[in-house]
Amino acid sequence: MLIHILKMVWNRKKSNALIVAEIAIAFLVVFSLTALALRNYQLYQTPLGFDYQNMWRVTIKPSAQWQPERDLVAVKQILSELEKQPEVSRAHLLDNPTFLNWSWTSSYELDGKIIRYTGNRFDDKAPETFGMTLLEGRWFGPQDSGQNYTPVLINKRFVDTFFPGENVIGKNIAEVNEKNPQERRVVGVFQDFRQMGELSKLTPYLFERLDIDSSSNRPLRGIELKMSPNTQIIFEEQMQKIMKRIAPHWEFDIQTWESKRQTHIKETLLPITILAIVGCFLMVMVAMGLFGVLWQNVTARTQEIGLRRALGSTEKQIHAQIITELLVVSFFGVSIAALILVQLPLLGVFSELNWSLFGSAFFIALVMMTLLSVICAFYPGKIATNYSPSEALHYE
Amino acid sequence: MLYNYVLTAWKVFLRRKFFTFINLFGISLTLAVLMIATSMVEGYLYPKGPEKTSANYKVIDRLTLTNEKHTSTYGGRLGFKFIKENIWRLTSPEIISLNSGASSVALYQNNQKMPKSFRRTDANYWKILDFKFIEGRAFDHGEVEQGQFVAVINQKLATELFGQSSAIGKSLDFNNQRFQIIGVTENVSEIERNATADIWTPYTTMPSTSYQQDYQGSWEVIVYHSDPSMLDEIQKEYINMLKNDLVLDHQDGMSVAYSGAFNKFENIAYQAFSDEYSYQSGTKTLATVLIVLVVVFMLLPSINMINLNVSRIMERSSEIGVRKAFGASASQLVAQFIVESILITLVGGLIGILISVFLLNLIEQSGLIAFAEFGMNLRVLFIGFVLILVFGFISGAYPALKMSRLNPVSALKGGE
Repeated sequence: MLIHILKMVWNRKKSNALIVAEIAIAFLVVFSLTALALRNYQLYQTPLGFDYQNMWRVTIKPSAQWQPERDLVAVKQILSELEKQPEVSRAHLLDNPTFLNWSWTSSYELDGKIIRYTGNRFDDKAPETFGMTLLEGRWFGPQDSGQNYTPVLINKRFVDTFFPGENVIGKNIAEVNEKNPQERRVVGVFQDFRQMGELSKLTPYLFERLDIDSSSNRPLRGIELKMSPNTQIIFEEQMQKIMKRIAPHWEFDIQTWESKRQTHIKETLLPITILAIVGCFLMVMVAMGLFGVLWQNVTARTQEIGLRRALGSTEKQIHAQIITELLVVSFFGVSIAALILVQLPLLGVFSELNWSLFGSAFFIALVMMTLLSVICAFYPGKIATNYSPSEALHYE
Repeated sequence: MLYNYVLTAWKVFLRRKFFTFINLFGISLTLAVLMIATSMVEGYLYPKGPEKTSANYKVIDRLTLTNEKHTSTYGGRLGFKFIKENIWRLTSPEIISLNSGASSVALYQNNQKMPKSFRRTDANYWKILDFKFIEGRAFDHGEVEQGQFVAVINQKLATELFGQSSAIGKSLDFNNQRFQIIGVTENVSEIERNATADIWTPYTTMPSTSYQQDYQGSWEVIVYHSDPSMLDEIQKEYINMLKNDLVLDHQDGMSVAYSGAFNKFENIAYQAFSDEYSYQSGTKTLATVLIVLVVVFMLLPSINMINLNVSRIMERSSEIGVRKAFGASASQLVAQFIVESILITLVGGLIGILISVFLLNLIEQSGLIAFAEFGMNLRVLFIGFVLILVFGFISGAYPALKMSRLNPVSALKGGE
């Protein structure tokens, strides 16, 4: 049966070629959208590693170059003034804010491996306030001051990517040479800190210690506040006044983590939504096109179908034949698309597209295309069964 | 002759309404998507607000500072000192203006936070960009020189703060500074990136003057010439200055600067495709990418239509047979079918334009892009028309060729 249908499809290869092309392109579209949606769903399911409730960010916008002698004092004063407010329960320092596309990526070579990671700095008590989970070792503490090493905290992905299976606590992860005399010692491993939010890439992450008393010339960029619950947004105005009084040469931008998170999700999903709408419209169009073509073909093949009926094919067999024919044509289309698509993970075009994602997206897209083919072929197949043999053979 | 073709086409469309519907559906939605994209790009390239003078100016808003070996690089906006020491020496522009770029600021009223964007500018800014003032005026050179605390706000903010009463002379507090409002302008679409803001103040009201020591900062510069053909001269002079006559006494060993004066199209190209160590904007790459995108997007609907039309050849084989038997040449038949195809594309295109007008209105009202107005204008309609013709031709040509090749005898018999 299947071989027979293959033969028939092959015999009509010229008129089927365009349908194959259409299905191949349609499959590329469905696959891309599925992969995109799946990827974002996976990312959304991966834990953030911190809490964003009741957290506020104050970004310092200096209108002048950073002068440590003057500016560190100002930051310290701001921190202590803010902590005196009843609305503020904790105040911390964090360089790169959460939920904004504002990141610091860095890379260096170690034992022939390229270590690439996203970095950040915070103070000793910050991880507890942020609700981060420690897996091994300890957070930063006063014992790290004045040491001959740079203490760092890394996330689990950092360990799994660069030092799988190793016990990294106390390990030096920097190439020590004349230019870079200090070792970088891992003091703890934390679950995760997905700084740029739920829909952002999963990266190895590293924290350096930010000690305001021994801070270098690097400017401090932001203050994170844990607020007591139900603090009104208008408290911002009071905060602005306090901070402006201490540092009139700076401007401050205050945002809640929650609002930054909403914006981040909205901005990430908007282009995907637009793509999905356009993709759906393309699919509806393809479906209607296939439906039309098949209907037309069935009408043109009245004689053939009449002959088959006269020779004893049942209605069911005719129906199945029409549907199987389109499925076989779809199979060719999907195969061509698959040959193109498989290049993506093979060549590693998108680092995000690994084999498991490729597999699941391919499977879902395949199911969708098969369903689409069956739906498109169902009604034309039904029409074909309505031809009575005598009528069909009289067609001319 | 054409009349006959149109008449035949009309009859064919009506004979099989379902197929006509499928064709129209595909064409109209495809064109609607393309028209929406076109009018958004058009709205960016040919603004209708204050930036409508954009043919007369170029913007310098990017600067890469690096050393000879590119081991240490800063990429970002311009610092005031860089503008003062270099760009102000340009002789070809008629007007040079600088502004701080739009940044966010919070206003507080009635226990509510109002996030607003504001911009510090010089007096030239108001000469280059064509702001429509509802009341009051812009600040002038004198006020900028003296660092007077005056502000221009947009209509929306004026209404939010003062309702129907005049805003002129009222005071406005933000960032611990008090400004006197001297002008109210019309709202500016967010798509006009160099003009948009809610509040504009003289740049000399900055709380500290140390920004004047920075080569890197957040500033942007607009260079203006009343003769658009002179803009390329400005770009040449600027690049020449960067290459041969750069003033840069920087402590970090920065000695090389890359930058460029770009118009709107060049600006997108520069952001998307140019590498940071280049003076060129990469407009050719951008144009190629855009054309490829449009073609790929039109491919699927085209193949769909070709498929449908090819499968309908049989339906019309007797007609073709008769026409051939009476001496119609293949080229005449091809012409007829292409006319038919273009005709249906035109109808679909018109529906598509209506859909896109409707959707654009929705996008405007959604507030996704603040104060945006995407109108259909002649230019967008013209592009749409060209797209329709291309689309109709592509999807009509192959089936037409195929039909014209039918053998008249077998065609009359109703077979291939």
